[in-house]
Amino acid sequence: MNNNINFSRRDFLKLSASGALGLVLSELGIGSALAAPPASQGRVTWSGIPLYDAPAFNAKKIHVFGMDQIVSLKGEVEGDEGNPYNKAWYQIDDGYSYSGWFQPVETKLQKPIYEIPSAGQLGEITVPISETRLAPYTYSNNGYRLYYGTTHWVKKVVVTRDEKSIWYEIFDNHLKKSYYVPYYNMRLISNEELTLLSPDIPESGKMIRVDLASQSVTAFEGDTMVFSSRCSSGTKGTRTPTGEFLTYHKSPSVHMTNQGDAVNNIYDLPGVPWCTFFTGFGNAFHGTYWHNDYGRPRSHGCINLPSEDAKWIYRWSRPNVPPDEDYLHLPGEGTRVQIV
Amino acid sequence: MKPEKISRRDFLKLSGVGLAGLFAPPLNFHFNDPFANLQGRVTTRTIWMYDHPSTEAEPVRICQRDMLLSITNTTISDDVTSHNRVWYEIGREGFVYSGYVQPVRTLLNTPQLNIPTAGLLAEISVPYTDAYEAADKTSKVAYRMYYETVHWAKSVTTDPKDGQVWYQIRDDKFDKLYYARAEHMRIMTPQELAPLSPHIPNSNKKIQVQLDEQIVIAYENNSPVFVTSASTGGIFRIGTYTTPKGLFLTYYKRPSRHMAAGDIAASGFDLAGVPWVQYITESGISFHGTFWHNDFGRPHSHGCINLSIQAAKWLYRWTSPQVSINKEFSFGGVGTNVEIVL
Repeated sequence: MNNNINFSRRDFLKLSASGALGLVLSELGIGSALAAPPASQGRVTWSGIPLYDAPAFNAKKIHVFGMDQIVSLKGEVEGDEGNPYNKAWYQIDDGYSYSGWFQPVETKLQKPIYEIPSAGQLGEITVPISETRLAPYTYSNNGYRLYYGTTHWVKKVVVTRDEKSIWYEIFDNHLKKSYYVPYYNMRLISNEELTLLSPDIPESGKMIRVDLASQSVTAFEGDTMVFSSRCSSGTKGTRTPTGEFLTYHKSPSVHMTNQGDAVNNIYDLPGVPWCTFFTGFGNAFHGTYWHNDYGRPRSHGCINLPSEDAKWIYRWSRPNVPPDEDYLHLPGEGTRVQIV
Repeated sequence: MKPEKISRRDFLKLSGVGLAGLFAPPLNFHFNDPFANLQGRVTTRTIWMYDHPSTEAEPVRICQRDMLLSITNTTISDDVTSHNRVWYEIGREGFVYSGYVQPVRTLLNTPQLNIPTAGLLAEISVPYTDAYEAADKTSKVAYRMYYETVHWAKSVTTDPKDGQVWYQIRDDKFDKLYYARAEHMRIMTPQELAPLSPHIPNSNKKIQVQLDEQIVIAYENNSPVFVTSASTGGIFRIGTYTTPKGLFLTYYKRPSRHMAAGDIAASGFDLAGVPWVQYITESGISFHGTFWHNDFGRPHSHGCINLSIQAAKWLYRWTSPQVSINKEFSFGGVGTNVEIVL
């Protein structure tokens, strides 16, 4: 395993945004001291998550959280246990819980925007959880739940005259169905946020290297490393393929599901953000809201990344998807991906 | 009303109900346009209609209080600085600013002929109807009751002269009885007042009022579940009426309140059947539904937190204490936390 790591954990921390703080702490020799959490709140990603009285799995369980509970994150400590590349534990109330179980979230309510292009515009959920409605009406039946950081294609803005409520109509390309999101839960993404990163570097000069053994994604411009992040690749039975690929089709938002397949392990994930596909079988780099356990293989073949990092890959790799399109497919083109 | 006695008039009345039912929002399936039957009632003395959705545009005509306008579309003004950019398009006639137009419908109801002694809660389901002093169209009118205001129907009588069915309604401020046409009032059902999110403990619910932003946010477990524009108190020409900051509880709730104070010729007000009232202070500061304006997003009130009737009803159903449908109020129970901040 160690042979595959081309840079130390310290270097990795230096480069990943959330690790910058860890570096400072390790230099000060207080690696296990309390650090600021990555976000002010955490969303419990599945049911039965224990809260321990110390940052270890064999510590005393003092509470159990249910799925989709929102907790305040007070701090982050380095524990002795976790996955091989992430031993961060969150301090919650008077206890600790493993960071991989919590999606770091914020609550940022938005102001309404009334004018959107006729082709639609990309929107991002900015609260821990947003319910959707089947009609733009408060008492309408709920549609599916949307989570922090997921992206959706907004078709139009609806002002409901009876109650003067404002909704964004989002279109689910998989179900061919519209849902309505309250305006205050969604931020519309401007065109400037979707431009190509490092446009001066030619296509041949960019390369993404995925190291499955160390669960890391590294981007190079020529010989210079410009980006690195931990990921979660395919797990047993759905391994991520190795070899050379091109990022030839991309979408800012995909409803990913294997329903209808004859498999036991069903997943149904609307609004998966920042998808950069590199095979025809749906293998992609994409953002992740259903776990925070990067460093451990967990996916069905995709490369799960924190949403911010997936967005960086999406913007940096070619082809660049124009802001008025929700899918771009250019076989034979794209940035090189090397998976080892 | 017995079936054999249905006259042509009654038939028209009932088919009116059926038609109106068709236009009720189809809540369970994909959305078409349930607004086809929507009208707007002018809520203030006069408003201008313009040829474009802007106060800078050419005025078309003046509209008086209680005039009904057929809303055909919702448009957004170009004034990006406005607290409320919604304008209503009135067919080919022109555009009116939405702040002083109450969206209304006309739904006629089959009168309910059995009313328990405790009375039944009813809302006005037509743009407006009048409260008479007797069950007789020629009697004196006490006041006007507006769309979606809520009143207590105490008994039912039929005028022997014309067969008109009237509900006897009780005014909770003056403890007087008036009469209103039964077909104009819709009896509320327990389902529509069922508690919202009853599985969330009351201590995990919180309402936050942001005075600077003029919004109200409902939180469940620190996660926002409902946000709406509001109009709080402010400093106006007629006086200073500010909403207090601090922590409060929704300790006193009632589905309907006749609110009146002062001289209506000056800064006073007289508002019958204000719906979904939740008091948070003894001085009378409350959340409630608002039918006298539709201009949420800037201060308008005498200290209360004005909400659209739909939003007020949502909060009323969501907070504690729950008021059972046959009770006039609930007082002193453990209320839901309210935080009013700048």
